[in-house]
Amino acid sequence: MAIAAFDKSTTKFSDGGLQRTDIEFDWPLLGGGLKLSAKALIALLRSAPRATARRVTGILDDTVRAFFKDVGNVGYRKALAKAHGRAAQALKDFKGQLAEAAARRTLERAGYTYMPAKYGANNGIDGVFVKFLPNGAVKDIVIVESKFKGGIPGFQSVRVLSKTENGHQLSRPWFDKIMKEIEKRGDPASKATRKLLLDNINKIRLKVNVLDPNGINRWNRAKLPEWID
Amino acid sequence: MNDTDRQFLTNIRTQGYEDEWILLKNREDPEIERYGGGTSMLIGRRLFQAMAAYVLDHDLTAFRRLLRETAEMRLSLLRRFDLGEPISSSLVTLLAHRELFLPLALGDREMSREFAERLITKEQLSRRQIRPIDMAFGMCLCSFVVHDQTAMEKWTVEFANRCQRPGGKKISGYLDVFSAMLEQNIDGINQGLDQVAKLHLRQCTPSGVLSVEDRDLCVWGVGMVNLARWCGFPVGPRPPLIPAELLVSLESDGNSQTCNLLERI
Repeated sequence: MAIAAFDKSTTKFSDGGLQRTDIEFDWPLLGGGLKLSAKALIALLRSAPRATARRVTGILDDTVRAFFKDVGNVGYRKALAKAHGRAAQALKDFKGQLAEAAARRTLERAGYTYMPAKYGANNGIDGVFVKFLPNGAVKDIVIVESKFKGGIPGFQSVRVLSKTENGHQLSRPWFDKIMKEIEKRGDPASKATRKLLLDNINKIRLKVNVLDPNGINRWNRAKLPEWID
Repeated sequence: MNDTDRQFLTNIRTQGYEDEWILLKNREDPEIERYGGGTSMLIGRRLFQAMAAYVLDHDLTAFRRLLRETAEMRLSLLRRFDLGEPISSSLVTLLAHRELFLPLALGDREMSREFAERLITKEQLSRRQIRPIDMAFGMCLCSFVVHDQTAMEKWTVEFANRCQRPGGKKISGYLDVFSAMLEQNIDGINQGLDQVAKLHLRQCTPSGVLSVEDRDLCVWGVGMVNLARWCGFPVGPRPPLIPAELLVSLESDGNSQTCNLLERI
């Protein structure tokens, strides 16, 4: 994906995408929790999928509109609580996307190609990165789970990864379930990724990146589940 | 099942045949299969095919054959793990209780018992890897299959505690059946099974444990009815989700008293 250039004078990306001022305006409403430096934020936003950033700002816009509508119906307190709930979800989505963007930035710089492996409403694998040989064969596959955490643990902790209905994230049953769902409900690109993963399953490595609110991205803070070795 | 779902499942099944060779190749690759990865991927595919055979074609023979194949594959992983092979521990946790419902639904008491006995020994290993509610559900089911009274009481209490927390509601029907079986309360079991059937669709969501192919048939429910019948409770089917044609006959258990009770019901 081509990365749009950021114009400091207009605070806009060259493709007319996200405005930095939109994000800054909405932060106070969210009650903080995101302390990225402007430089780190701009860098991350540049590599974040543009559609996601638009979706988040869209949710925030809707939240504000719904708030003013709700005030008349249910009163200030209830309307505010509802708005906080929606905004918190939007912020959570946004943080997740920032962490995914941080992983993508690092691995693309290292020569890996991002391949989508999502289905439904942003379910699936955060990042599948493939390194191809000059002849087109697959050399290496890295499956990445991205996390945004306030306090990065000082040692390897399995708690960085959530326990889902199908076991730990990145565990074998979790992976199998995602492959099954992509087969059913994934878009053609995700289905192609699935086929590539299944065909090269012994080349898969697992990684977790943890981004903290100061923009520091660590790759060695999650204890990975037992999978292949 | 509506026409859209039917068409959707037909398409997925056709697509599946196209890349089945990859799964079979992986299973035959000693490097991949060494850790159980090849078998694990094939389990999901065979289970889908079994469900599709029932809901699309109503082919009972194929359904039973594929269900048995699925259960045997998971059981083979458990056996290999117990023999000391380096099978990934995530493949043999108590999450496999979901596949324990398959031999139960097939009415294979021997396989169910071996499955449950092997799963029970994975308690410590599972504790680190799966959610407490799945663990409690799995241990509860296993203890009923092997009929260990102490474990049945202990894990039913634990399962009840876990079901009160968020996410527990949709499997609360199973808890009701277990609790009623402990109390020897036939009405309670029937109510629990009604609840199982009622809440079944809530589990068939894309992010849930079950999926679109499970919407017309509750294999877990079939397994529960068979288990209840083995324990001597004359419970009946709940069509269409728990059809009579998949249930074990009460006569097969040689329990004339329960057969008579069923006739009266």
